[in-house]
Amino acid sequence: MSDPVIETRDLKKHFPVQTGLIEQLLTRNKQWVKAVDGVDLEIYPQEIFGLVGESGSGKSTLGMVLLQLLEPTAGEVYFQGERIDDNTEDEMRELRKEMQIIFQDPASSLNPRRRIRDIVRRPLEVHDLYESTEKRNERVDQLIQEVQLNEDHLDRFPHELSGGQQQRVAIARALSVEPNLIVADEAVSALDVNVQAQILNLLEEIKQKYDLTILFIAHDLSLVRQISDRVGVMYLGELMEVGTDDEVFDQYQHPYTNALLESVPKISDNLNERAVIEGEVPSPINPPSGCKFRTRCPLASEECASEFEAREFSATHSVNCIKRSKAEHGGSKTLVKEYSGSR
Amino acid sequence: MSDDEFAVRFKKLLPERLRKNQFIRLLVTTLVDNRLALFGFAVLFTVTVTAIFADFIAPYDPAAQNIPERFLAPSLDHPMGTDRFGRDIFSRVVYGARLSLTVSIISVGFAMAMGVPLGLIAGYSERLVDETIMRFMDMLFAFPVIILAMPLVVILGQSTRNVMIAIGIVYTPIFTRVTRSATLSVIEEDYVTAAKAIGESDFNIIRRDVLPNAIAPILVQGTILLALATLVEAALAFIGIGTPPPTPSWGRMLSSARSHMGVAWWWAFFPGMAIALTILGWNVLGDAIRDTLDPKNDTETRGL
Amino acid sequence: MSREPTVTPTSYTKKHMTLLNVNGLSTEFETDEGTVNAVQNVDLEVGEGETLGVVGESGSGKSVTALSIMNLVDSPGEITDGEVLFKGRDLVAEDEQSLQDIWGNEIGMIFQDPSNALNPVYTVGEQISETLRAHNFCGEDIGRLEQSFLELIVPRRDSKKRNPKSWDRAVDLLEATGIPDPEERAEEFPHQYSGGMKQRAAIAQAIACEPDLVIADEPTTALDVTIESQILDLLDDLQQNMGMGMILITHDLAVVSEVCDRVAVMYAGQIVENGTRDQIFNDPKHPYTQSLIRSIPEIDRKKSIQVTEGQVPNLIDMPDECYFAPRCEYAHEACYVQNPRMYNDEHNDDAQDATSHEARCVLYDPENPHDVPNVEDIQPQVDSPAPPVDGVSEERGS
Repeated sequence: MSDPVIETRDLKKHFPVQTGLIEQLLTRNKQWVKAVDGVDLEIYPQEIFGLVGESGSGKSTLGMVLLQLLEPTAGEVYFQGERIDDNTEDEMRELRKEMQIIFQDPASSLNPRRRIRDIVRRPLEVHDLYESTEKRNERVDQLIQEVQLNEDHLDRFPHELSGGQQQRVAIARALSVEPNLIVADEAVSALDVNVQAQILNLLEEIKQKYDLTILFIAHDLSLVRQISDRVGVMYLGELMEVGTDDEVFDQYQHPYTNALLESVPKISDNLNERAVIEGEVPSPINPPSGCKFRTRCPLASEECASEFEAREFSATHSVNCIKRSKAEHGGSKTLVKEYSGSR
Repeated sequence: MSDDEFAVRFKKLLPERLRKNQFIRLLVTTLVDNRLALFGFAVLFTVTVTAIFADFIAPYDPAAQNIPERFLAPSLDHPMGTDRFGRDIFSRVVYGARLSLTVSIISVGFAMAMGVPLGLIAGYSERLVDETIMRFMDMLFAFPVIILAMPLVVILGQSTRNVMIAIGIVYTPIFTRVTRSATLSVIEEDYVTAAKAIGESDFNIIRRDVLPNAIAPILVQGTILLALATLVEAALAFIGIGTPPPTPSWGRMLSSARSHMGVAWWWAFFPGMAIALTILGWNVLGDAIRDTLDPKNDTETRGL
Repeated sequence: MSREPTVTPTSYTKKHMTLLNVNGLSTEFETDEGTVNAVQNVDLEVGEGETLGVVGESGSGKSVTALSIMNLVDSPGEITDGEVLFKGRDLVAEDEQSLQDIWGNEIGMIFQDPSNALNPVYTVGEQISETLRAHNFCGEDIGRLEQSFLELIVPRRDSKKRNPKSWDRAVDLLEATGIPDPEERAEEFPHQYSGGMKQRAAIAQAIACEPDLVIADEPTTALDVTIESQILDLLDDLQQNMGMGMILITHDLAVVSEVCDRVAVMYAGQIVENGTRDQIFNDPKHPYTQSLIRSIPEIDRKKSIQVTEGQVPNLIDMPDECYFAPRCEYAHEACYVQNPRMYNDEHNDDAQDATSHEARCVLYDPENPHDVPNVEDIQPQVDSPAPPVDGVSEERGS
């Protein structure tokens, strides 16, 4: 495999729990929300990497930290081989051409007071591309066609467009600077099923056309399956399992992956055969020690409470669980039975 | 005619370029939807015109004394009567409009110019900067305007300029507070993060993304304060620390007329009405602007 | 769930008895742009113990349909036609007082965002207990003081002490919906609950008075997938134990396929297909239903996503033709003549029963037979873009 486009090593992002000014000065105990708590991630060129997790898993935070829109608390981030987590804002400014983001809520990602043309043209102005306003406008016209909108949309305001159209504008804006990496943070989650499909298709098209690398963050496993080459599963700020889409969806090893996949409602003939996972997600302020999933895991035992290394099952498949051994690799059916007890 | 016809005709009066402007459209929508707004606008329009063209509207020199003609009841010659010195009250009211508008607009403008940037910075910056600015503002905010105005006038001297400064200083923290809170909510929006992701400088983000979207509550606050400033100016003049004579001031007229209410009711009545109507005008306009700028209304296509 | 629910099961017969019968329901909204025909001529039926799924995208009118059934539609909307027969009474015709007796008591409603269903200033236990007392369910009535504004000023004594029976039942309900440590939890405020727990509490409140019918409007859309499965499980269990009828409104076909007995598919304010779960998923008739099923990504395998171009139409000034025709791959002249009626494959009459399958599509007109599209024959959509329409939102949850 070639060198990764973006790489993190033991990346952490902790948010302080907000307290009043006096309390902050007087007490020494500071509590932290450990949104991202030690993530080693590699994303390779021209792949679509799907990052899944439920709310509180830290996946969106990870996306923001990767792009240095949030400062990491610890750990390192490398972009195309160069370390970027210690960059100043000025150093980042140049790099921002290379990495763009598309947000979940298309309406709030576009400035409601600006027309579409201005919104799409702005990155070009910021980075001073294409010498003149006319040339920039030409590029905007091109981009709008690319995302399957047409010229009369350019003079409108965001609220005059539908959600799918707004998201297309966001994509056009991201494309304008010809980035290498696009982070799609729940980019289709707020859209209707039909429109989701349209936007996913569009993402795949532009990925092919522009040789893009995409980090696709989502909580909807089926969507991630559709579009991803490789997949990572996050829980409470850590990666539980990483592999190709077949490895993670069909040959999963981690009990949490199992639970997630089992929970997804499927159009199938078998009603009432799903396993249901117990309990609530623990607080990210005081997560369980060792394996964070152990409080809900049917396989958990004492050894899970201490720190351990992730296991590599193949060149592409790694699992953050000490219960899984290579011998059990390939057996998703065995795991299903272990869960069905509750029904 | 129906509201729609009115809107269409009004829009036809405007040149093409203006028609596309967001604010003009907003203004037209405000006036059309809200007849009360129309009333407020009409009142303010009258006051403004009166203030600007005072020289042409006032029949007499407001300072011209005419002792034999003092305490005359309203008549065709003197529509609002005369005061203790025989001065025509109508002319004095007309010129008073000039003072009232000048003081309120300039003092509020000053407060906006100082308060809004501070609020933007406080809202956008990190906690330490934010807290510092706001605690300083709290200090200013603690003073009722009249209490602050008094020592200022004593130290700096009694003049219109100092009245405007006093009001401006006291109103600055109000704008800071409103702007800061609007800024805080705007920076949560994804389009601000998107601008950052594009590589925009903080200054440009504040200028192009934050400010235009935070302006609504600032404008509304502005109209409220314009009404208040009118009142404050009159109040300061009433207690004698406002604009000194001979410039006609509605508040000072009220003060002088106080003891002569039995003899010449018109002397207090007309300036009082002028104050009340002007304040009403600003208030009503403010309400209308607030209703229109309400996010639910701020679209051309108002849906369910 | 390992715990047995402590809610007393009501006697429940397996006979298909009709609980709710909606006929020709229509709702309109007056807006500046014109009249929005949110719900048009909707016919629905729910039997005792049966779950009906109402599926549609945003703009389909499904949520407004739910509100209309409850007669909860407020200005600028109003029900313009039709009847909603619930246990023999027409809810459309009832007055506010009678409706208040029914809401929460005989019909329970669960909303999408549980934070909206629960009042943040009262503890969860108090809220559920109040619902019980409002309908005098445990023999404890709601106090005069509570019903007036004075209650805001006069501090109330502990609800637990004053109304022990309602309180106990509230705790039981919390337990039945799977909330751990219900006695402590009942004394907490909604913001202290997680999303899944809030929804459980909202469900507890909805079923508190053992309603005959529960209407759930996107109850799991805002929840994580593992929590979603818990909640669906819970609803299923409760329904089995209490014999409630349920209307489940959602955009998620997969959820429908797991939980529902019958399914109604809505498009642009109309029901376009109605059938049992198996009929809808194994033999979808209406081209829109087919397109919905096609565009759902599946978790079991990758498939090329087949896209239906165009958007849901604006609900103002609808032309008298099939609303889906502009986007339909099978559209032909007959589709544009008038808005089609429902065609029932067996009887070709208006009778609905538990196994009828009907679709609003002229392809099924027995007098004018066309090649009925077979599920296997479905080809990928060829480009037929409809011009984008202003002001249409595609976000979920409307």
